[in-house]
Amino acid sequence: MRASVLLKWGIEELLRKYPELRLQPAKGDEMIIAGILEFSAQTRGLKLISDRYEISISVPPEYPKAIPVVRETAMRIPRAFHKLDSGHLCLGSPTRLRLTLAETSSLLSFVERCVIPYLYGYSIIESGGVLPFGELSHGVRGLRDDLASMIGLDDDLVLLGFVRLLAMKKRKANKLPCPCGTGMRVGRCHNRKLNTLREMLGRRWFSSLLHGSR
Amino acid sequence: MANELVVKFLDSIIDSLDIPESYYRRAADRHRSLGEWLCRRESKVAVFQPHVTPQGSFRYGTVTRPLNAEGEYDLDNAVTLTLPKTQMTQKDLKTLFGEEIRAYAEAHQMLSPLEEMNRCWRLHYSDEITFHLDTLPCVAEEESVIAAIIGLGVPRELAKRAVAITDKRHPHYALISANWLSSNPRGFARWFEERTRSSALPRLRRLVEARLYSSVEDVPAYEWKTPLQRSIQLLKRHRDVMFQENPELAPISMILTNLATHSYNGESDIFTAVTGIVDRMPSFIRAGRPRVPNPADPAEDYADKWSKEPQLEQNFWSWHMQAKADLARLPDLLRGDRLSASVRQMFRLDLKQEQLLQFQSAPISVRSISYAAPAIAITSAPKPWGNQ
Repeated sequence: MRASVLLKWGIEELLRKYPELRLQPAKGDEMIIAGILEFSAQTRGLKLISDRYEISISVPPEYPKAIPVVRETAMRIPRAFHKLDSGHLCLGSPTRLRLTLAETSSLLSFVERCVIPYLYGYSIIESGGVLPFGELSHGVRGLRDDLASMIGLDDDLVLLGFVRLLAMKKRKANKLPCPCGTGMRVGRCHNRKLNTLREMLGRRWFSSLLHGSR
Repeated sequence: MANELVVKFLDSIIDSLDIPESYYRRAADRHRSLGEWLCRRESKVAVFQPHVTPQGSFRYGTVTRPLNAEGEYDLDNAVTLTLPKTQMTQKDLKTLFGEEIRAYAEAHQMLSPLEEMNRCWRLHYSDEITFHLDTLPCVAEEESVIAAIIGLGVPRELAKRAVAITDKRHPHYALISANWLSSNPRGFARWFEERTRSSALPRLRRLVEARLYSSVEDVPAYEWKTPLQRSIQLLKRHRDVMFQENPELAPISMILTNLATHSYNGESDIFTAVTGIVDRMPSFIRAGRPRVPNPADPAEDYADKWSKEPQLEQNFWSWHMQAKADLARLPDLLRGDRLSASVRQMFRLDLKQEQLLQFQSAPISVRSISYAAPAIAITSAPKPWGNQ
């Protein structure tokens, strides 16, 4: 990793805007930013919440193709809330998080678009409210629901067909009948949505959803 | 000229990192005493006319207090012996020299055992100041090697100070051979002093006028207190704090000193100097090897470990970015209400009440920036998930 990478990822902006977060020595090839994330956040119709969390963000060398791993280090958020088996915060489905990173690889925007909303949600839960943006079921169920909503499907019965198309080359996929049941070929039906997703995340990502990563 | 308050503030921070001058004098005494021992009549290395030259931060005047009271000061010297490389093996020279150092330790009732390092011997002093002295035996390089270094564009004045050193890891360590590792700590020190001295001259003249020294040449480096030296002290401290738990991952002082010296453009105030140094540092790291060459011997790479341990380079860049971000915040911090917490975080220093009053004369209520956490308007967000 060279200086240019740190600059490209917007680390400097992150450190400046959230000065209690600091780069930490790293033993491996990941980059670690840890400290206190202090924010005021609000979403429409809900009260402003000012809060601070002790967190650690580990940025893998494959970033932004791989998602940073975030931990809450003061044991404030219980295991029962959305956490992975490893204790990492489960900020969202991997596809959704990758999509956010595909739009902008800045770590500052990752923190503001994925980490702060998650913590904000937990603060609301702590004060007896409900999650403002909803939550996914755990496990495969949640992954499916999230993908279905990204493609714009009401139910996920046809989802598998779409994911297969996303794992194919565009040219090949466009010639096949659209799984949504209109009888049209994909090229004249759901092609825009699929092409955008495929371009942003790559065929291999969807292939790994089908077959596991190889 | 940068914001006067920031300059005063940084000056006061660095003053508190300084060590008492008596420590520098003590260090000089140690070098002198060792030199006398090596030259005494019974010494086994006296025939090689040992010449002791101080090295490292005590020579450059860039020592900073250790982070905690138990911290040791590192003292370095090079002892140049006059003999051809082929007269004995590296191992024999290291051993012969080591016997003298061991005898010195015994004669001075030093309790801690002498330690053999890859290239030098380490003596542990334990009086009221905890020092360890790394003493590096070396022989003056032969003319052909010096000519080759000059051929790489190094001025003779620096190149002629090149030495051959012993290294336990060298394949010819125990063989009679002219193939020894080349190094040039004395040339580096000379280069550092040349680059530092010009900005020290006004102060040196004042010291001479005040009759503290008889001539400008007599003023030791720790008295120069140039913006470069003080910048190095500040950056080393920042590094020490950041890597307190993992010192083995920290960028080494020689890399910081080397890059800072290249990057210094003669700025006269500490804030402009240190921010300029940090900004320009990356441009003196070469893309290929040697990554951070000794200007007095370009084959000697201070960052030679980076290729085998890439995390060391990564940690350098992390340190660099954090230092840059911290320095950039200072002017705002002085106007805000988080100064003392931030100084503790960056430099592990506790500001005294009078320092706070001096730099933050306005009462908190009228200060322009009272810290406010960034405000985020969330319009949409990923839904939390879990793999359980």
